[in-house]
Amino acid sequence: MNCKPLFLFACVVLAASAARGQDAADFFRQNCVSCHTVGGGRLTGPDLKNVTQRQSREWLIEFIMNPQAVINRGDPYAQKLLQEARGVVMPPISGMTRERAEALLALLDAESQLPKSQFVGLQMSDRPFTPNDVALGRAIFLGERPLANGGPACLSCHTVKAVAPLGGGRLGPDLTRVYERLQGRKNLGAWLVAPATPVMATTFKQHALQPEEILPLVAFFEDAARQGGQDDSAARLNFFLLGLGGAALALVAMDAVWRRRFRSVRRALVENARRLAR
Amino acid sequence: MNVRSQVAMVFHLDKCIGCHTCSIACKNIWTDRKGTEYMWWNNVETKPGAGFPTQWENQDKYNGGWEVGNGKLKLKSTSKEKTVFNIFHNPHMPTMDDYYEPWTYDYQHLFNAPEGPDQPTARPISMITGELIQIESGPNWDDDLGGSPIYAQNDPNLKGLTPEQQAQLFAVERLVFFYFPRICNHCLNPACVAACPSGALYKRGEDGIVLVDQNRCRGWRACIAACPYKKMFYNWNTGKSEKCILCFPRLEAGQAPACFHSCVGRIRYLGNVLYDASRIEEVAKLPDEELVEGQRSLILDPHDPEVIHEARRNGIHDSVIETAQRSPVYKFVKVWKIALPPHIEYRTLPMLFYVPPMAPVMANRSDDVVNGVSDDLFHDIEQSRVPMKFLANLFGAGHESKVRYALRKQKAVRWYRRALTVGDVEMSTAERMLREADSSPEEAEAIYRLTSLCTFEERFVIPPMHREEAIQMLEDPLEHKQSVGFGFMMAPRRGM
Amino acid sequence: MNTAFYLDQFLFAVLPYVVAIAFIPATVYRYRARGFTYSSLSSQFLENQQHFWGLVPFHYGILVVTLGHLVAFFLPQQLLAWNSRPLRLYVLEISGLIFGVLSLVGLAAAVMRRLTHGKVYRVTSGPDWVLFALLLLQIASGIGVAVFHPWGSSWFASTVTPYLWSLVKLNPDLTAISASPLLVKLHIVNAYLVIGLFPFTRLVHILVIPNPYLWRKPQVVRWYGRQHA
Repeated sequence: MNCKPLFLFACVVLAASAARGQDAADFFRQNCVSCHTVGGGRLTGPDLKNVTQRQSREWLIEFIMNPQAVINRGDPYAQKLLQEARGVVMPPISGMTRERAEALLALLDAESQLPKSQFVGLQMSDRPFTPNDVALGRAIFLGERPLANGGPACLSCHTVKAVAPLGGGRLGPDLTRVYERLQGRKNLGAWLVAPATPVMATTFKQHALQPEEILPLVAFFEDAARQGGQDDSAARLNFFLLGLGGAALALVAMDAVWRRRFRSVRRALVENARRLAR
Repeated sequence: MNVRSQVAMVFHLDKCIGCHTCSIACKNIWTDRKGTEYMWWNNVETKPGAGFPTQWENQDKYNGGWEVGNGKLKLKSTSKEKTVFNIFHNPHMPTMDDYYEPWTYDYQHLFNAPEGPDQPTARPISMITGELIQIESGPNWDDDLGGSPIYAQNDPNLKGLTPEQQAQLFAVERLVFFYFPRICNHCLNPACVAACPSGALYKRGEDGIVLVDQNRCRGWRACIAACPYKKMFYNWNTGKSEKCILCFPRLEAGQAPACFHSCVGRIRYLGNVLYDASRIEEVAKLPDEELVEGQRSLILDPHDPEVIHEARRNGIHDSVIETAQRSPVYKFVKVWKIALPPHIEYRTLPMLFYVPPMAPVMANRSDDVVNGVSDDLFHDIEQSRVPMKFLANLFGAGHESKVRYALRKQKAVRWYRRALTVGDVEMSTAERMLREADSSPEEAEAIYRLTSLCTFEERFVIPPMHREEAIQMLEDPLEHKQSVGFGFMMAPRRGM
Repeated sequence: MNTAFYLDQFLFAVLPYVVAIAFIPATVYRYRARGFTYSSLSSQFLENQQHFWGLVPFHYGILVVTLGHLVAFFLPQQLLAWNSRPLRLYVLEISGLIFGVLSLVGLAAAVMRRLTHGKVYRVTSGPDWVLFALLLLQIASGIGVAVFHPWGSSWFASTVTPYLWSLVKLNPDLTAISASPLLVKLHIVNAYLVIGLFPFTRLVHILVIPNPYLWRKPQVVRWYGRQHA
């Protein structure tokens, strides 16, 4: 074996940890807009217009690179932010480096100068939700209506109580009360534009939700939060029992299919003869 | 016509004394390794008897061999589709329990036992687990009817015998049995080869010996179930199948296989025959009663100029054609028609033939007086203590005519020799018997010579194998110098 | 965070390549130098009753489940399209769970057989025991993922498949995997271990499944004097 595979392997490891060349604006769009606007008002996180005038660059860079660490060391300003966000901690951003954080701050400075930033946020209609919106949102959640950009249905990883007989997925959180958790339509809508948790981010980076999908979904979540719904922990048990029962049936079927399988000749012969002799 | 050469065999059952020398010769050469202790590539069974493995002839249980359905030849145990679904657990494969668990004795105990009031004994220990075992069975557990009544009365060949015939067979004062030595039949239509999912089993084109390519065998076990004679064995240690190789290394050196060489009763004959490979499938599909004749028709006359021409065209060496002309097997099977294939109804077309036993009946018996002469000359064959039906189940697919023919001819030969040497029988009677048995004094003399006075060279006419013409011989041996050597040189160690 | 970060890097970006690098040369080497050791190493000959209840459910179970994983890897979009009706999703998930349970029941029976049956115990090697332990863990964790983190058939296609393809493209993206639940991580890492041990265990018999049988003529004749077989 020559050294080529080892070399390749080293390259791969380096590539894995190295930041990929990316435009700051793209990066912001993919990672930040679910919680932040520039001049569009607060979402889950604060409006970032003129953020560099509110705190020192050094502090901001440190916070961007590792929010949890700044909060943990008891920084008062970070505590205040946490309170304003109702305890939602800014998630760590994958691929974040010092250079990238600086580029982001530069971008924010530039965008703050503009009369209308490109990151002003989703302009979702304020009209009241109709039952049609809720039904459409439900279909999107279940996957009956496929997402325009090919993303997986919400049901894959999330459940909303009483949405389907065996419930939804459990990889992500239960979304029954997500409307309340994220404080309403504006925040939830913004979150759905560019979901920021690592799994959601990976999944929806290539398959962003469309505005005309977000509105019904928010309507559906609003409705779900209002309905509450029964505890559906039985769904998981039912699923497991169905699996067990099916397996038992399959074993019975195997026994039937191979019922004429070879068992024993000599031992059967001898035991039979002994029985007759007795 | 597609002429091929096949090393074929004849066992003369009237001469077998059941000494198991053949089995021991084979065992000591080939199957004394770990994993093969239980295998007996050559074994000698007592008939009637259940055999080894127990009741191997009961294909309702073992599902070996071929059957004809919708005009097609099919394996009973497997098919292309079944192979896929049965590969995890073969539903027709016997276990070691149906053979026997090999054992040795704790001899060390004889030396190491502490002093005590009793004589120490060497108790049996399993050769697999090394633990003490209760011996329940062995390779010839029912030798000389030793396992009766459980074993002998469960001989599958008793099917179709009347209760009176069965009672007669086992009446103590008339008890009768004969020996049935068995090796791989190196069939023309081998079920094991056709069943092997890996293509590891093959028939050698030049001499028809059926072998397992140990490097290609993956232990899918289909051959074990498919072989109706249960002469495929699973090596539980290496996870590979093994079988009788007809001592091909000895044959290639011009020597008879070990079991043939060592045979005390000189019952074994070996020689090549030329046969028509293009008609194998056609013959294997014939109805039961036509199979014996059908297989005979596959074997070609090596003196026929057209056969010789076709053989040469197929690359068969003149020296091989010459040994086919001298083959004792050709005479027994094709010319004299007194050697018959075992269980031809399995449709594998076995190339080991048996001369059915007259023994021990040579005279008839009435009112407790043994009569040497009877007016009804073939009477005692019909009234033999071994019912004709029993022999027919073994050697005639259940049909008696071919067995009767072979026995009548043998009987006539004996009467002819009696008239010639002792003289207490009329020669005219003997000659009438020969005529009625479809024979002649010349043929009787030839049968007598090859049966009784045969030399080593007459019994074993081994065709030259011409390995010097094999493609391997075209390779430069120097290419392998300082390399790994030729072929498969590593010890066959079990995989991880 | 740093320890966890580097651990993830090691388990999900380094380990798979180590495993792949070990797997391919070792398998090829073993086939070429010690082809004799490629065998199913069946023990059916020594015991055939429990063998049926172990080997048949296990193999059918593991085959179907593995096939499901391969479909999710190669045809994620088609899988998601199938899953777009909750009923179809449930049918697929329940079937998957049934075959998962079958393989677990079968493997447990097979391991019990090897532990309790003297003759079969004799033909069980050290690598066999390690393999059985890993496989038990693998199947049990798989069932755990199916029950506690549904619906894997959908989220596998949308999160794990991109990760696996990022490995194939030599550009690992661990974002989704790092955030996965512990049970999912365990299942993935253990899968790498099984693949890594593959060439050193009886698992190699998977590579010699006899597909040519389906197409060849029944009888095989070899001529040592002719070039063509």
